[in-house]
Amino acid sequence: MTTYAWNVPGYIQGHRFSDDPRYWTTSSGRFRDLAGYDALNNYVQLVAGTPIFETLGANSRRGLKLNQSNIYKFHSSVSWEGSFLIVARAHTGSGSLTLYPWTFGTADPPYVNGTIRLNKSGGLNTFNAATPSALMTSPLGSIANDAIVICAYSFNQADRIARRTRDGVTIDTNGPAAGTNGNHLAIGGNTAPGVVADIGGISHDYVRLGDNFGDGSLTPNTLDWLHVFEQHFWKGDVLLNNASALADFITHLKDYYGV
Amino acid sequence: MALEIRVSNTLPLISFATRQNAATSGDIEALEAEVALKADKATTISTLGLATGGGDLSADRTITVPKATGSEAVALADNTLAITPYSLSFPLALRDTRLATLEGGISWKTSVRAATIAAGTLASSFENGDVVDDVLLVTGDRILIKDQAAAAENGIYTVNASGAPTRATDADTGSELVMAGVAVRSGSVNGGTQWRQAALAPITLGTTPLTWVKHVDKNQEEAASLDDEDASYLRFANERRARNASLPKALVLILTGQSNNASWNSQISGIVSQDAYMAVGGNARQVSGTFHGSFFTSAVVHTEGFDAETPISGAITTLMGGTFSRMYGITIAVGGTTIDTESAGTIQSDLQAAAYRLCDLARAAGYDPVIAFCNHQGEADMVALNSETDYYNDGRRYYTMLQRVAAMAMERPDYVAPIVFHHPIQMYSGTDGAASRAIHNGIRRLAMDTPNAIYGGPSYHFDSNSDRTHQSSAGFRTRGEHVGYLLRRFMCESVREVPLQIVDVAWSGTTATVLFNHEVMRDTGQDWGQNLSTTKQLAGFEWDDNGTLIQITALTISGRKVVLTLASTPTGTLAQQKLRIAEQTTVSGSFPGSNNRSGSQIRVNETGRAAIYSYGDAKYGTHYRWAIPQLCSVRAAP
Repeated sequence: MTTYAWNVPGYIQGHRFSDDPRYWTTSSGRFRDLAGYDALNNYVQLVAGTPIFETLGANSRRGLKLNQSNIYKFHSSVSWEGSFLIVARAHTGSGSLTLYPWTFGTADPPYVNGTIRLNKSGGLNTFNAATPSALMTSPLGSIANDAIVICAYSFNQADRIARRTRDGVTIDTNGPAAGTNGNHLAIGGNTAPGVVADIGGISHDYVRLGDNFGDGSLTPNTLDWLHVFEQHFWKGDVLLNNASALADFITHLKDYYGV
Repeated sequence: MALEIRVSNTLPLISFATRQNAATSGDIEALEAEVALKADKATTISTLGLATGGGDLSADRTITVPKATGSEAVALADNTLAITPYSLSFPLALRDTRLATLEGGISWKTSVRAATIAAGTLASSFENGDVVDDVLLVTGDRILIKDQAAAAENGIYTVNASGAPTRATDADTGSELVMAGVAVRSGSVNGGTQWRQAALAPITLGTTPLTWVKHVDKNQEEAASLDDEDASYLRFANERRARNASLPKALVLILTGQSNNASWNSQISGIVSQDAYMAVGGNARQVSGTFHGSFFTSAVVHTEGFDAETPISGAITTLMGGTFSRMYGITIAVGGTTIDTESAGTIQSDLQAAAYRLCDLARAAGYDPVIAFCNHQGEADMVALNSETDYYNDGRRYYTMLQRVAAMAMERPDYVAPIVFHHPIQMYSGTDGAASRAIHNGIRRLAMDTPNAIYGGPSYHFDSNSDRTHQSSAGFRTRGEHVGYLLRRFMCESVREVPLQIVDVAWSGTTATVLFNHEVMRDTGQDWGQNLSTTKQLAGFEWDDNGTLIQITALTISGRKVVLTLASTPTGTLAQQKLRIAEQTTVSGSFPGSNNRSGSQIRVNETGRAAIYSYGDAKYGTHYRWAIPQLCSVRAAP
């Protein structure tokens, strides 16, 4: 039986970035929450620009092009700790660069928030997760341009370890460092307790999606962009506690996207 | 003379024209034969439907009904052949095969990476580095070869570094290939399709031609996937709704806002509750940071003097029992912050930490967690002179966030966490208390507009020795009892208790009739709600005639009505008349203090609820519903 996102325990938020009416409502500019919390504003909301949907990959799946021309926001369900998975496809030009497609907060510059970053270095791309104070080392695999990838991450406040995987089987870890009160490379800084996302309840209460350069500009970038297909969030550390179910879900995604 | 007897116009039966003598026996036999023949020729056997061979009785006839062979029955093309039980068995067998297919009777194999779109040379066309359907093969890939000229070569293979591929171990015998099915993961043409091996048993590997037919096309797979996905989600949603339904309930009470984080160890009565727990760590949220990783991994039994037990102590006493078998409590609060500051920074992270972890603790202990909030807030916003609109808008976002965190922590999208709204009674500075009134109004509007909100009204539970901002331990406890009582009424008894409020004021001359939403009485036995500094007030009522207070000299109470007598007839217009209750004096610069006791002596005419904790002070002995602070417009009495 196929394992879907909701079959992995602790599922609390998820979105598929297709213009199929099952997932996207043009009139409201929203991608609905697959976990069912739309009534509590758990959707992804178009903030500026116009969505660009394209069919990509071996199995011709719809994805959303994030080239800075369309920006979204959504409430974070994993501000303190949790797990998340993205299905994305990078396209970067020459040289090295860093984009911040997911910025957990609205502080500037983007890297002072928790982020999922698109790094271009040495001709290869990586999607790497970071807290406001620490970037996960040993980036999660290197990928060529225009390849759909599946990346899952977790931040665990109990053991203060950050985890990441591409298949749910091989799981890399980061940390912990010495100290007992969140003083940790992966999650916190040297003195302050660590968080995944420095998010409050009013003005800083959402994740920015698609504001790759963190400047709110809607000028399309013609050299560097990414496509996003799905994102999912879970409470707790599924990479540690539910790796088998996560692996099954990733297997399904690979079949679905032809990876 | 000729006598001729004719039977018909054509054949004389007997002709006597030429005979003089009688007919012979031979003539009669011939005649009988002719008659019989005539009769035979006149009688026919017709054949209808599938039968053939009919005709008249003048000759032997053979009636034939042609029957279909098995293949002809399966072909379903001929309309002149009859179906026999034997020939019927062939299409029935085919039907059963197809049904078995629909019912999952196919022997599905592990998916392949690619499938051929043309014939190739087995020994050299499917090596590492070759391309099949735009897929670059690598050693170890599983592929479906289905287009070979020699169909016996078709099958599921594993790519080798060089040379011919090897039949996959799950498809390398004849029996394994009977009704075999496989999905194709990649490929420009075949990616996303499914194929079924159609040759029937028995299969001799290498000899029997193997035919692979497309079982599901790409588009069909999309539809099937969606159907499967919908079914899976429905199961998930139903299971989530029913999850833990039979488990005992544990209330997770989260206190937010201000004035919740005092620690009054030495002044708390010795009450120990074995069914209530306080989360370990971080009961007072840090403004500059947030809870660290060790917080909330455990909870300890609530005991006297627990650090920052605050109103939770009181809430425990009134909430335990009934629906809830256990309670987990935590305060996430910090003093002296406006709702904007309170909600900025890491509050969402803090709430997720508390809510997620406490729910996990409850589940680990065998309980189904249920979250509720109490928010005591407003003082700092009054001092900061924030507007009602700003407070309301910030509050909507804040309280929606609380309920979202609660629903996710409980994994119940349809759950709307109750929130008790509580605020201080006092008014802060301002020429007419406008800023304080704005915050009170904002809180009341939030209580009306937030789903499952319970407006607890202002907190009267300040002892006479406090500065009315920082309560004594007894005051915290009493407030907590009130919160617990309101939540118990709402969550366990489905009753939303409504505070005491003025609903109408009618004025004429020196008489004003005030209508409340409950039957009321004047209670002078408590020492709060008294001694407003202004001399014009009575029992907490003040009459404002265009900015000038007119003394209220008397009042009478009947049911829900309070009739006030004014010392003189107001001189302003109707629109300039205001009735205030339970508000601060109009003297500017007045701050809450021991000499200012905002409030009213008017309360609901009811027995009240005895406090559970004994403080040795009568004023804490009973809970009543006192009038909330209001500034009311006035209408002309009829």
